Amino acid sequence: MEMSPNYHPPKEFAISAKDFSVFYGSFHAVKNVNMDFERGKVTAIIGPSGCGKSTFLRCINRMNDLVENCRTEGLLAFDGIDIYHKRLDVAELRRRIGMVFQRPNPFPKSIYENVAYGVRLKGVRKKAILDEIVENSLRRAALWDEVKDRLSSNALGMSGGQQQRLCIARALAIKPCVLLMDEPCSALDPKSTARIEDLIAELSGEYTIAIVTHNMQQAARVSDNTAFFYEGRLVEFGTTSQIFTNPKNKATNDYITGRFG
Amino acid sequence: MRNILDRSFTIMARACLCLMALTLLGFLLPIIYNGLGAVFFNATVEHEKFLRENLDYDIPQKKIELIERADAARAPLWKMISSYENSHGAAESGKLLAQIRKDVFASMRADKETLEKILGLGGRERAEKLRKYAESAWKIYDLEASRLAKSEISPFALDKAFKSEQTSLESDAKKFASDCDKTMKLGFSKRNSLRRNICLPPLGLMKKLRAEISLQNAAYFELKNGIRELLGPSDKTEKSKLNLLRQRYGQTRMDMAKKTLEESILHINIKTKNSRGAEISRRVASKQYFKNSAVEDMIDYIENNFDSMLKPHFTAYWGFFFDEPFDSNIFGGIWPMICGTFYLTFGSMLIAAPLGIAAAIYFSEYAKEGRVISLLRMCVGTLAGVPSIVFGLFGLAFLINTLKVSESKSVLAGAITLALLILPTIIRACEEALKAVPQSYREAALGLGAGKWKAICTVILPAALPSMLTGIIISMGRAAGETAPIIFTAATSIGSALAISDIFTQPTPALPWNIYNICSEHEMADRVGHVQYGMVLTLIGLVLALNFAAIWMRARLQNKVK
Amino acid sequence: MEIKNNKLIMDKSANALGALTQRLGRALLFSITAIPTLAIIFIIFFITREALPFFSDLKNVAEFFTGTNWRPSNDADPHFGALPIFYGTVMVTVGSCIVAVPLGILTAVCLSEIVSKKISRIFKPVVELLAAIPSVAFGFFALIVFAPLLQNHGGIVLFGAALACGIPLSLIISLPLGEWVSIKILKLKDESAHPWVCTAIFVPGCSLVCAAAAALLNVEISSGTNALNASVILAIMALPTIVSISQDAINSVGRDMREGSLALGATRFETIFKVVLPCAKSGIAVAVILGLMRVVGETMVVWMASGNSLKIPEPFYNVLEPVRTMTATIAGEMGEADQSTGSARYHVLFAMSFCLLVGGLILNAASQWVASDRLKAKKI
Repeated sequence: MEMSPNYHPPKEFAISAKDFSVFYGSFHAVKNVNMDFERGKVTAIIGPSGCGKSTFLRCINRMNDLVENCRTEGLLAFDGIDIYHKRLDVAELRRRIGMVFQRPNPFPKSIYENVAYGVRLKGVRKKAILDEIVENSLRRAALWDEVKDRLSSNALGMSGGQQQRLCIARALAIKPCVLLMDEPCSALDPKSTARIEDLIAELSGEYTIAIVTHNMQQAARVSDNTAFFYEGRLVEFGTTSQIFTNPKNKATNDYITGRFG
Repeated sequence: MRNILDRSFTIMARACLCLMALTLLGFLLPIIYNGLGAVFFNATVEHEKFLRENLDYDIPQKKIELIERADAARAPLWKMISSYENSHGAAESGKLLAQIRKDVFASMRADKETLEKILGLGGRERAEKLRKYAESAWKIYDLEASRLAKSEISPFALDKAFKSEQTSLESDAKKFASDCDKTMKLGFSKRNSLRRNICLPPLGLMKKLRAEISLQNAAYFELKNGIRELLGPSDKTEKSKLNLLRQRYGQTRMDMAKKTLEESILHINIKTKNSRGAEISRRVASKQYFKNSAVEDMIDYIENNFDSMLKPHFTAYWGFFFDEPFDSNIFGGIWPMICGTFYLTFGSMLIAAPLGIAAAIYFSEYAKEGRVISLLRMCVGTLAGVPSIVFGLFGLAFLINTLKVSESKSVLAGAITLALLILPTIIRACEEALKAVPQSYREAALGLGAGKWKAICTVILPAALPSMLTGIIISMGRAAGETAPIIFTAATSIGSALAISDIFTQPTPALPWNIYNICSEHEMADRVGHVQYGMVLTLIGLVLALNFAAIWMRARLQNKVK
Repeated sequence: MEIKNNKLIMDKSANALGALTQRLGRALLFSITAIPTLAIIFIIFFITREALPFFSDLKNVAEFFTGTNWRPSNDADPHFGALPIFYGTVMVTVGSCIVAVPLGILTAVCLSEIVSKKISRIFKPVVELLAAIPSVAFGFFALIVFAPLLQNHGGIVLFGAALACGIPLSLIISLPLGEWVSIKILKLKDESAHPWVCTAIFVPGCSLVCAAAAALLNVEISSGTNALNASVILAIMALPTIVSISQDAINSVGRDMREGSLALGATRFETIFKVVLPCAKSGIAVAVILGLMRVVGETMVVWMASGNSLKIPEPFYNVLEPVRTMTATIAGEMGEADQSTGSARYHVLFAMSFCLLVGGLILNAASQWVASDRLKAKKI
């Protein structure tokens, strides 16, 4: 499972992509992306609709395997390991990379069971330990105070914002190294959005977070680094302050100033 | 113009809808009404007697009193019957005739010379002269016998008397002949001739009279059969001699009792000779036929005391579902059939449900589109199109004759056959249920690191389970009602409820097959009408209950999701 | 997170047992999924194998399909002429289709288009319940309730049925016929005269129906278990299938088509007949074929209600005569025949069920072909 001898991924990068491409059949969705996600920082991926950002993100924990006709080329590495290596255990990979989806998708189970789901998969059975993990995760997701007295009620009965925070808690419960967030606030109201952005700010440092977002202001608020994608290509990558105040590429500038997208 | 067409079309379409609804009602209502009559009906005391003596029911005190009162009401009838059959007049007339007979024989013995003269003659002349002599000698006897026949004495009793007279005449003639032989030294042929001809006239008369009486008696016996059918035998000793249970009790249901009264007591079939001398059967009103005789009083008594002899009372016979049948379903309940249907239904579900769910999981979660999968899907669809009788034949030829899963018919073979029948439906329903689970659940589960099988077991299957159960329950309803697959593989016409240990080797009665049996091949079809309807209602009720449960579950599920 | 740890833990072969279990599990699922395939192969194989001894003798085959003398249990001189039995099946099937198909399609149209959603929702469980009633219950009804009705009051039943069918039928026919006549033949331009022409056609048609009905009133039905009885009851059994599947097909025709037609000024009737039904026709064809399959494969109703006589009725369309079908023959004679496994009469029954199986498979293939045709059309 070694890389080719020419490439030694720096240890401070949790995820690295080298000449990475994604094809849906013959459609070239993501074209030769080269970027690195810094460990412990929040990286935002912005760009207009259909530019391949979600596709790229979903490749990181190989969720695109669920799509037929999806093919990749190039290298995508997690902590120095080729994600698409044929001997890789995908389930293990996904336990180390958590994902929060665009629409909240809690299971039709109780709140407690939702959070405990991933933990149980790891083999933890003792109720005391589970209780502790569930409480910690819900606290981190800023949901504990609201649900602590109804942990056994059905998760589908919560509001959208609460459901999304539950999904975050669920993802945090398995203690991943990396957290992927695919437009987590697009289906939520401003107040919930604000809370989740606060959450992201809290979590950074401890987790490596990659967030795809439509909302440039959000990207500017929460992220340390930003990548701008356009028509499947990585157009520009840099620190957030640099991208937003002094973009090097004209297309980036046009997008940020709202001329298109 | 077009509007007329439109409107008339609308009316016709609505009429079709009404027709369909009416059909359903017209089908269900008679069955419900008559089927309920198997459990809720006006019972007679015979029903209580039957329950007490054969099923060890505890009869409450009130009913015991009813039985006693009914028996008391019947006592006069039995008295009338026995007095009719054993009337003293018979004894007396018998004695009278016997006396005359003795007198005639005595006079003939005294009249030796005439006898010797006649006996001296040759063959045919002798026989003729003997007959003429006998005619004159027996004239008194004949007169007396004819008078008796026309008298008030019951033909039944008279028949007995005449019968004994017949035997006595024959034996007396024999004795007379041998006596004469001893004294007159007649020899074999003369003695025979004497014996044969000396009592010819009276014997002939007896025969004729008895023949006339027998027609009347036949009618009386018909009536008596009707009474026995209505009320059962009159006393315990007679009862214990009877083999068939149906002969030991009268009518247990009031509606059947009324029918018996009308058809077997108030009207009877009698045999007469038509103009050409051939015997035909004719239906007459009994009271007309037996006018001015003791029998008419009996019929009047029965008519007037009908209710008090039977003591009808409304009862709910829940034992219909839980008791074993007695005497070809005429008495008792239908428990073995219900039990057998349960075994077959649950057995087929236990086999088909896991297989169907597993196949559905494979189709919806694991299968990649390709030639093999299309072939498998096509085969599932084809299996659904096989006629049910072919399944039955397959079960017989393959499971029983070739694989020998059991020696001959058994519940196991029937359950496997039924499972094959409902498997395609279950696979389809479960696949639909799995497809209806939102893809987001799968993504969430996989995103948390669950392996594919774990994700299916912990998230997808529980989410799809209510819909799957709906489909499975509906299939169970179908399995319960199917007949053709079990005719050759599991069903018998008679038998008692199977114990669980026997289901692998023994066949069982089952509701669908027994409904067919009791309708087409039953020998007392008119007496078990209520059982036919009851069985059909039970089967329909069972199937509809399963379907209602499934529909209710589906409705609840839809509300829950909202 | 060190690389070393990751390397070891994420290697699939580290969890060889897990991988093996996964593979075994998948193989197990696959083999379970193959059970229906195995079953159908076995069924076809076995029925054919047991039927072959009969079919291998060509003389038998000729007699089977053309002879009219059916006496397989006569050991001295057995005959296997099954033509009356085939004819009985066909007659009963055709009869029930005549009743069920128009009624079913009209009901489905009514439920989808004409009545309110509320009534439609109430009727859906009614139709499902009618479909769920076991066939032996229908057979019971046919034998114990319907047959005596036909036998004792046959004339009245036929009279009522003739009126109930004849008058609407003459109405349906006279309206378009009248319109066609007045436009093409009489060349009347005045629209208001059309109704008179239709009436002129309707009245004699109606009186014809009444006369026929009155003639039927005097018909004496000698035996209540006959082809008519079986056809009517089978039609009732096939109705729910036809109604529910047709309803699905009609409902799946897009709303926009209906709205487009109505926006052009068509009446509801015209929209249904000229737009919706042609669009849904393959779905309705599937419904009819499935109803047919149910009728052909039905055993108990025909066994109890068709009279089981081995004569071809004369004249050939006389539905008041008893007939016998293939399914009833197999069900009735197999019990004895199984005692003498291997004899001619055992094999001839398998031969008959072979024909039945082939018929069922053909109908099934037809319905799947029609359904896939529809899918292809939709994709375009």
